[in-house]
Amino acid sequence: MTGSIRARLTAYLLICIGLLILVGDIRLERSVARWLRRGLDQGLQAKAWALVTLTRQHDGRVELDFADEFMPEFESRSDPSYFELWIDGDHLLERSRSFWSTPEWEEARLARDPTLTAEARFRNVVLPDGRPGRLVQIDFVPQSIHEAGEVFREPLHQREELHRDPTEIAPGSGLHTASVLVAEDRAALDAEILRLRGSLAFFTAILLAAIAALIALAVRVGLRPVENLVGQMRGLDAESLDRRVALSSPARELEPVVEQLNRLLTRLEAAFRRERRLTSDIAHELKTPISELRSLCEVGTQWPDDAELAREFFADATAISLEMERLVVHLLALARYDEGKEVVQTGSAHPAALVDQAWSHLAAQADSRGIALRNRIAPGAAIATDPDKLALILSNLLSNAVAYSRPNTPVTCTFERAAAVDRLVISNEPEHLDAADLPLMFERFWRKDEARTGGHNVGLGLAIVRAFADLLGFEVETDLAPTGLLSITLARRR
Amino acid sequence: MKFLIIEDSERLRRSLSLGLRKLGHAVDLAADGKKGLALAETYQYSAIILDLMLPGLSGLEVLSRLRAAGHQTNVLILSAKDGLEDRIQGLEMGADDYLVKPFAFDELRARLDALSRRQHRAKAPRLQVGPIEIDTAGRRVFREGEPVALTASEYSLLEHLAYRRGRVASQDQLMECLYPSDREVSSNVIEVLVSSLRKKIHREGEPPIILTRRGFGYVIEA
Repeated sequence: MTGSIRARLTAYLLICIGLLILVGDIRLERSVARWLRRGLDQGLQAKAWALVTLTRQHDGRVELDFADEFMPEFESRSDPSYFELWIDGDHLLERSRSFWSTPEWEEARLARDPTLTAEARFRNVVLPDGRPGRLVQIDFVPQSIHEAGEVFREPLHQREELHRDPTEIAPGSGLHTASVLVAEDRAALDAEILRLRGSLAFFTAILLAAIAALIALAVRVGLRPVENLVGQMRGLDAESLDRRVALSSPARELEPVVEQLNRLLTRLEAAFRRERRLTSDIAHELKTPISELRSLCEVGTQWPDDAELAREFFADATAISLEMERLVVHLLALARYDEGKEVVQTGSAHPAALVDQAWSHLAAQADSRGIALRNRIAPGAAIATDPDKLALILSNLLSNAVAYSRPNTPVTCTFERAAAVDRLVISNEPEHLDAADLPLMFERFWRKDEARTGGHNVGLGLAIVRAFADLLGFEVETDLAPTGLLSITLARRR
Repeated sequence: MKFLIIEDSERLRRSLSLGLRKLGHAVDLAADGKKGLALAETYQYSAIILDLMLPGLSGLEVLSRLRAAGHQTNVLILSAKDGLEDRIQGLEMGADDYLVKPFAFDELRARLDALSRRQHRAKAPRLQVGPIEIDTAGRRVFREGEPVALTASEYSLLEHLAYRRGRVASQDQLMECLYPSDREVSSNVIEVLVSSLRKKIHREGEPPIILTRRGFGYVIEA
């Protein structure tokens, strides 16, 4: 089966409906054939019963009072019927004149079952003239001839003695048993049945063809929303991710697909935009220090004799190169993380000491802004993780806190060891941060004030925090209380 | 000339202002859009060097408000945004020039000179005032082909009066044009500067180039 839904659907429907029709056809054909055969059998039986009623026994003799003119089919030369009357199982009393026209007419016999039964028996036979035929055999007890003048109250065929069970007649009882066999041609019936089959097959074929066409049309119409959706999706590429797909007509089954697809497109668009923005952001971040460096060098070159100018410019050039180095280091760290090349070396990390160490590099800046550290982590607390990477995470979190906290507010560090989860929390009171900023904070190059470029903080610190936290198995949770207290939690199950 | 630099990068502000001052220009500085707009609305400048990505009020917003208020000061946008749409937007919003970072200091200087010439409707980079030829591009002065050594302030004064030829410039105007707004200067500094300049460009027996209009200011006759 092809990979096409339409082809499969069409095929399955066609097969199922086709099977139903075929089964129906077969049942119909059999019913009709049975009805036709029953008609033939009934006709045979009627003829046989006629012969039964004409058979009588009297004084130990059995006679058949048969006149050919009443049943001319038994003496017709073309397509005749045949009968035989047997007495007591082995004596052929009478047979039809139609035997005379058969080859080897003296020896020709109808296929007889010598076993007596009370029921009429039917079977397919070959007629003495070679035609396919149908035969009925009725075993009976010939009626006894009564004294003349006896009045019979019931019709002849209902007379009780005609329906006596021949198997109950004991030898020596004085009564004879008889078997009448009547056979006639069934070729016409067979031909009729064949014609019936042919017609059914022909009309079934036409019906199936029509149904196939209708199924194909219905499937095509039914799958139109899918085709439309496919068409829309084919038109999507990296340049058109702002497009969304929609259903051309209501289709409940496809609504969740469309919804999810659009959600994915939104995320894909955002990811593409982020990636493009990242490249643009990197270039943008480098432009500022390069501009500063170039301007310093060109102005310094024009007035090289100004020693004071030169000293200032060299100091600035050093600071700029350090910032660019920091930017490159951060970018490389993130690139290694993205490529899965960062290696985690698990050891024993002491967060209290790491916080103090990180703070020592920030002390001057913190003091100038009145930002104080409250390190409430127990000195002996230890976490099994990569100490260097945890140190980098803490360094970035604290650096961010010092740069963006409101002046004269504290930065608090705590560590909780609950039943199964370790939580390392850095809290501070940032300026100008909203709840809407929380999901964006960890994006690369995101800064609250987009105008800030260059400088010490390039918007990669928290991106590194998230990347390395992920590497160490920590989940990063953020919370901004109504009071303005921001808490960044590194949580990990032990 | 006097320039206003509105740029949030302290290092860039410092290097640009140093370079322009070395060239004899007066420079006012602003680190954010609000302060820059306040200075631009208060003082006259030959040109404003305007960064776009400013904290608080953006450069485009500063420009928009200046133009909406009818200020015709030359504005040169200095920005890291180098897209075509960004440049078009800046110019369409009223900037006179757009220079993308990183840039050559000499190019900035040349563009500022061109803006000044435009301001004074002087297309040629050389001005002739009697026997004095002023090369505004090279910031040099010649008298009958011989170079005249002027200080940066003397040159700026001469160039300013030459551009305003036929129009009197008051002392206040000259102080505003030649010195940073935040610098306290003594009231006779212009007098001293004019006197010093006259000594270098005037010749005995020749008509004076710089005339004094008592009670009004100074002028170079047309």
